[in-house]
Amino acid sequence: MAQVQKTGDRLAGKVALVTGGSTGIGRGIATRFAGEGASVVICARGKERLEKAAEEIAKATGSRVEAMPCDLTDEAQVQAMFKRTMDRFGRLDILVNNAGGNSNDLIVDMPLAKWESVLGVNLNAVFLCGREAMRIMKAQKGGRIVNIGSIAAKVPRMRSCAYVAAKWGVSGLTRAMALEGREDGIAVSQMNNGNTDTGHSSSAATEGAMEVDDVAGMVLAMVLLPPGVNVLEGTLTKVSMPYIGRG
Amino acid sequence: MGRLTDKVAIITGARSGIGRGIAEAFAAEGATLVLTARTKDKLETAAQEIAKGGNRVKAIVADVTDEKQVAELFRQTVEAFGRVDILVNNAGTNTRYATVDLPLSEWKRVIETNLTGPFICGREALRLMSKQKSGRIINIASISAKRPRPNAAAYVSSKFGLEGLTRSMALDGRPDNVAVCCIYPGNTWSELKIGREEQQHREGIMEAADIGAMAVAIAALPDGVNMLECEMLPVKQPFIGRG
Repeated sequence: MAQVQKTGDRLAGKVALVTGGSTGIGRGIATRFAGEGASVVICARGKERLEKAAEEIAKATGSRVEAMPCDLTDEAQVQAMFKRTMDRFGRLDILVNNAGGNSNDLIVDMPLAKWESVLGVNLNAVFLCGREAMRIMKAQKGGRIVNIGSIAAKVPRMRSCAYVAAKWGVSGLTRAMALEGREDGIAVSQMNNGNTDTGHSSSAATEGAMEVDDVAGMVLAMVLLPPGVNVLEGTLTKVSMPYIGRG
Repeated sequence: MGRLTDKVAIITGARSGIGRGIAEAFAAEGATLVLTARTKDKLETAAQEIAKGGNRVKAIVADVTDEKQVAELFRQTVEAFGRVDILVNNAGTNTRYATVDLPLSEWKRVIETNLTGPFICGREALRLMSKQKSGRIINIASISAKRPRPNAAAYVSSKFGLEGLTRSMALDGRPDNVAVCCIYPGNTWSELKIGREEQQHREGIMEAADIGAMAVAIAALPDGVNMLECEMLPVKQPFIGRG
């Protein structure tokens, strides 16, 4: 991934938590936020890769970047991570629910355990992190949560039943959180991305793929809006992406 | 160097409101602009004010519902600047009647401006952009394209239609790498909303500059990447729940 250096200070004083922050889109977003002066917490399951990513982002941007290993499907671990974030930084302005995972099974062959594992990381984790963030942000009277959806939240692909169901669920959860956060000025939004070149997309070759930084730059534009203004939903794809028509 | 330097953009309904906000935001990023509106009134003043930033800005009077005037608008733009990279279909109008009282003439006027106008301008832009093998069309719809307000049948229908037009143009423009997208703003300061200030205050309201900021982020995307939809509204505006 191209190294984004310090770009400005439009997020100076802000604290952001990005899940799935050691690779791909999450890392891209964390880098963009840190590049604008935000203090950033990144989390993922794998400790070593996460710590290396935090170190590299901090070095490239000059911002505080902290690695907090976490299994996002574990309630106690999620709560501990938010508590640690508050202990370290005293506030939380932005949560990006980015962590996700897919499987490659037809419905007829899908084992229940896999179904539950995909729902766990793509949907339950968004609930668990979102709930903790909303508790903090309600007390702060403001904050911003960006859920990374997918165009799979709109139109399914073959061999993605659990992922599609989970992302459809994220669309519902985004709106439920936005509704319940409204009174306290919490902006909740969803970014639905098409193929993005994260190094493990098998469809990229035939359908085209965006760069990670295309997505990260758009998420940055969304969080830079004034506090009372929200992009409720955005959909970002390659022009070439088969999605708009029938298929 | 701005993020839109060397880009040529046509913005319809650019003399005030969201159109003006987008024009100012594009200008701040170095774009070359053609601003259009139906009447000369205020359009030339807007163009002069924006040109003070050092941008190339041209004001061209055109009625977006008139095929010949739109063709002339694009001809003059290409003559002056050689190409069109971005079209912002922003010009719009409204009318407030309960459906049972809505005169056909008012229905037609709103559909013509809000839906047929973007078709006519979009068709010209697609013709040019297909040849260029690049370009971007940004349609300004409304969250009324998702859920209606009372007494706005013509407006709501035109904006639902604009969503369909966006997707059709995106599909037809795809082989030639033309990106077509739609921004759906909620309450935003503009002349269309006069008489509803109190409601707007209660619900929250965005500045035209907020829409401008997202329009810049979209316009600055690399060639071949498209923000198909961008729904944006004040955090407190009633829209997400049932009503």
